[in-house]
Amino acid sequence: MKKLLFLLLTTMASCFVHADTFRVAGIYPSHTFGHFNCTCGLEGACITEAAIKRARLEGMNISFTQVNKDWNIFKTMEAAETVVTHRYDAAVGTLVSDDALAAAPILEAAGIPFIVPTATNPGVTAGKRFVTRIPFNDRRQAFLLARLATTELAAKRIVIVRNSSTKYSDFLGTEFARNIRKNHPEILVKDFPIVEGFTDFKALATRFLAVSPDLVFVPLPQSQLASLYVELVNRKAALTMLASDTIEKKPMFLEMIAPTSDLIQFIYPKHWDGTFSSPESARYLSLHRKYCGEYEPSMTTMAAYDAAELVIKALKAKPNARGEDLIKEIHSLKFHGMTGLIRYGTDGDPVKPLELYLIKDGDVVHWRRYE
Amino acid sequence: MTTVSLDTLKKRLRQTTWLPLGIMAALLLSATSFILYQERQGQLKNTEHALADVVQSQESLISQEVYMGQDQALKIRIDSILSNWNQKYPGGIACLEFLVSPPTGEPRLISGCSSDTIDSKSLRYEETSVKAGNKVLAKIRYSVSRPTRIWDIFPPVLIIVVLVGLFAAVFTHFTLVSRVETRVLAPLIDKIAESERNAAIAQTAQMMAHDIRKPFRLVQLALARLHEVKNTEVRELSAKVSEDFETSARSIDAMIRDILDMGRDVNLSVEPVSVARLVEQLHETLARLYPENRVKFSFNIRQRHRVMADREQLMRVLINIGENAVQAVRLSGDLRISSKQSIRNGHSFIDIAIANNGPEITDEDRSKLFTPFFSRKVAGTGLGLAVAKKIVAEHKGEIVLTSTPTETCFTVSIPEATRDAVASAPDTRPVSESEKSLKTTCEQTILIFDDEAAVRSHWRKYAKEHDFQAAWDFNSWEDFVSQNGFALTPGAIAFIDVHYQGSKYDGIEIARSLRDLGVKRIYAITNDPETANASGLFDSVFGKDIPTNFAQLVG
Repeated sequence: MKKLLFLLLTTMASCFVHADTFRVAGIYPSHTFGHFNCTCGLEGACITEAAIKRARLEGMNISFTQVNKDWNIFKTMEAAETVVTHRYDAAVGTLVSDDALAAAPILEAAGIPFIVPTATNPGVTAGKRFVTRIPFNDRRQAFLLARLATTELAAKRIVIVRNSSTKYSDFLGTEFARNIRKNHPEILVKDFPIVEGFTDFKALATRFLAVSPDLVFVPLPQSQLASLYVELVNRKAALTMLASDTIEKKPMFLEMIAPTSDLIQFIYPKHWDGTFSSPESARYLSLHRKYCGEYEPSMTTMAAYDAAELVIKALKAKPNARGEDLIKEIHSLKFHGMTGLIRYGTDGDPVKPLELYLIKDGDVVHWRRYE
Repeated sequence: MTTVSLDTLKKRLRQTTWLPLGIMAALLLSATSFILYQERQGQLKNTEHALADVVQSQESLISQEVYMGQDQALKIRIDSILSNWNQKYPGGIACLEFLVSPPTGEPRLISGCSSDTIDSKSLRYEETSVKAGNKVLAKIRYSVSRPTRIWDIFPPVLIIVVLVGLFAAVFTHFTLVSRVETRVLAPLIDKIAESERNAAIAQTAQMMAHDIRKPFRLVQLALARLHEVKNTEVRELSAKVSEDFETSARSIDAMIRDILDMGRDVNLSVEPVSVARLVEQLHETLARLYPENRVKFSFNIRQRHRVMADREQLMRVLINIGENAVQAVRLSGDLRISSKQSIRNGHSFIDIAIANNGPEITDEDRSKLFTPFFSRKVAGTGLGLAVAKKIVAEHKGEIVLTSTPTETCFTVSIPEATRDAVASAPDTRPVSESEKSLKTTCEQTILIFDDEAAVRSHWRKYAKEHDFQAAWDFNSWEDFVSQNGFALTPGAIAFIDVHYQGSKYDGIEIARSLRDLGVKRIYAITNDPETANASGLFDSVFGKDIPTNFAQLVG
């Protein structure tokens, strides 16, 4: 009888504690083999946990649990199911749009707020009340890059090489083409879809160089991007390669070939301008150094940091905010995060500029902010 | 017998040798095609596995694309897989079908083939599936085929090998044919030519013999007339002359008979014949022919041995061999005559061996001994043994010669008379007994029609000598009618010259009339047996000579 009474009290206490603690689940993969081949998932989880630890130290009743390990959409879905099963209060994470697209419907259906740090595909948040993101979306990215290509870069013959296996690349490439065709029908646009795992860039380059493009838009993961760049350098191709926001840190191909080709003007956008000049930078850097010192500061950690901080700030503003209230609270915030000013537009996604980078003299330099 | 020319023979030889060559080539090609077909099937299976492996290795990517509804990516992936597969297996045709069932949207089929020309519905598919947990996201079907092209079955290397093989076979073929032609056919043809030459010689000799015999017979008749002369001095002289003449005439007659027999078919009248009696008669004949001989005869004859033979013809053979043997031992050696039974090819034969201890016959002579016109004797025609061989062959028998420094032996093998034949034989008594019997019992009417008086006279004389009581000879039909021959005809036996020209009626017409008149038996005496046989009027056909079995015929 005493034992039964003890168990009942323990369970009630546990429920009581759970009821007070805001439980955040992390859906960050432990690896990205075959795609980015980066440790970015671990970095994202690390900085999120660090941020929540700091919040706890500051007196907040909040906890963090990493629920994902492997990296593919089905593992991501399993993680989302875990979040639902254990009734977490919110989930942060995923690295790419396809993961976010797989997890979002599950969490949306369960009414669990899902804050996505890096996924840009519009479908992640479109029509969802419980899902929000940190970066700009791809409709905006495609619009801005198309404008850049046709105006500043003055491209007349454009080739698009998209990875049709992923929603991200597929949508971005298609939307980019749609924008150009709509606004500049005189410009030649040729589409060359490939798939995940595609490796025959030699044949691909032969095919699209036959079009004599002056710009090739390549919304591809870094591994494919690097292979194509190497192929074009070897062929001494003279054109502009316009990439998308897939490049983390220093582009992989810079490590693969040396020197790079001056004949190829390589431009790509990021969410960060490369400086630590914002007020939040000091807090981020101290936290990163303290808890995630084994990694270099990266786009993913900054976006993950911003996602965690948005949740914390929303809870600070409204401690009892749960579910849709939490999302509304986040959307109402005006936060100068590591990835710039996070300000949500009418479509529910942040309205942010593109930070454009280019390769100059074999190194990566921030070219300009573009919006 | 059909005459075949050398060219025809060569042609047939080539045709015959082509057949096994063709069969061999066909078998070689069939076996190679079968092996290549099996090999191809194996390769096809491997290519199928290769395609399945590629699909399996991309299963994770495919499943994500299916789940995300990336149909274009799936289509590109199918094309990419098929393109890569085709680079590895050029010429092959593969089809892939993804029946996708994503969580959102309708199930749909995304497919592709490495060739636009193939009807994908006609293919046999292997199936697998792509799952997410327990849920089947897509059914994947794949098929691999390879159109059968001539080069698959007959690759260039094989064709070269087969062509080289065929060339070698053809070369061997012609070499073989050439060898057969030069080593087998040519000697054969030479033999045939020689044979034909011999036949021509025989034919000529026959004509000559026939021509010689006519005047010779006339001389014989003249001598017969001389015997009838009353004058004693003349009769003594003629007796002396006629004895010398008859000895010579018998010799010439025998030679002529050999020549004639060599060129025509031997008509056999076979019956069971006692070997013991034959040998006895042979012994008597040799003793009579060579009265001065001191040959030591020894016999080892089984009394029960009987052969199926024409007694006269076989006797002729034995006398020929016997005479040669006596001459070989120069009238003073040993001559052993024996008989024994032997079985060849399931048939029973009686081997009559006549051996002497004369000089050995050389190998060269041995090979020519039975060839017509071959003789080492000054006075021989060289036909004796050739005729003997022919007669024995007609009996379905054979003559075998063995010769060593100590003995030369001719063995005559003649089919043995069966017991049934011996039992049903009308008369197995010795010939001499039969003749004696005939002299007293025969009273047959014998009609002889020939336009040559000498021939008729010769026959008449023969009949008279053998006591045939009624023998008539007629110069012509008219002669027959004038002598009231009709009274003689019932039960008579007639010998008619088929081509006789002494009357307006020829022998055929006379034979026909005699048949109508009831003549018992009619025999043709002619040098044209074909015409006689063709008429169907004659019981048997003979040459102009008096048949050796005359006594039996009229008996």
